[in-house]
Amino acid sequence: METRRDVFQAIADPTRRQIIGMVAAKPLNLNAIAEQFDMTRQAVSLHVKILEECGLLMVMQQGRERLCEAKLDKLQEVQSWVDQYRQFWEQQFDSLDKYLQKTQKKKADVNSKRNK
Amino acid sequence: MSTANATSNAASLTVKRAVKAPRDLVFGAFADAAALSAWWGPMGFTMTVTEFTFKPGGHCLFKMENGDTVMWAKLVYGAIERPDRLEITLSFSNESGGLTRAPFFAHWPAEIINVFTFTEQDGITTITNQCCPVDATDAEVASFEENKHSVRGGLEASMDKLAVLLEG
Repeated sequence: METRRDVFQAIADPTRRQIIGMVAAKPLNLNAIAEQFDMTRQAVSLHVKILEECGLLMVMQQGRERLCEAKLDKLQEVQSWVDQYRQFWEQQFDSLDKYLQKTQKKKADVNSKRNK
Repeated sequence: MSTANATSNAASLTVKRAVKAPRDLVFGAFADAAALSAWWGPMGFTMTVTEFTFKPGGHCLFKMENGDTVMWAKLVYGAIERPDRLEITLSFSNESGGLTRAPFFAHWPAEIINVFTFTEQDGITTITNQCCPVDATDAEVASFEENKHSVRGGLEASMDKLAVLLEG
């Protein structure tokens, strides 16, 4: 299966959310980010790579350093999904409610006929 | 009525609904293919269930039709605790159940986990759906962490061999 890369992947992980928060304030080099976490530099580097592939972060080579900069316009996609999915479920629940009322009415009708 | 849940995940949301029906009936509306077909799906679409296994790890594959528009989607069942709780992972799919991208939306999570809880009081059942995109990269990171050790182990073994060769 092809590896999925979307903005939802990017922010599903708490470490990655923290990284976005850090670089959103100001661009940081990879070592400065890695120092903030209790995990290997490679693991942090992998999270940065995922964020880059998801388009939330840009890594620029500056001499021997790799500077990470946030690209936050992508986060708008998340809000748009959240809004649409909420709407979807509001509709689903409307439909479920209708179904439940209809089913109960049917049952009540059958019972009242039986009792006559 | 609904409230966003920003604490656990930036992309998660919670949708709540109170319905005038006993909890068993509400849960039953999820647990039965005919019942599910009667209410599930976007407005205006008819739903046809082609595969249905309601058990943990089981799934429901269905077609949604509206005129010329046909979409397939899949529900994969996680934990099932009748009638309190139900986990469903929702994705768009092809007709054989393979994962596909969302047909209409440019940006849509590939898989969305929905955790439903059902509570009943005075004949009113409150359904809470906590939704969150599934993170496939957790597994990637975990396997990376595991591999790292085996790579290091392998490298150390090679160095040992090299040392033996050099000394010999």
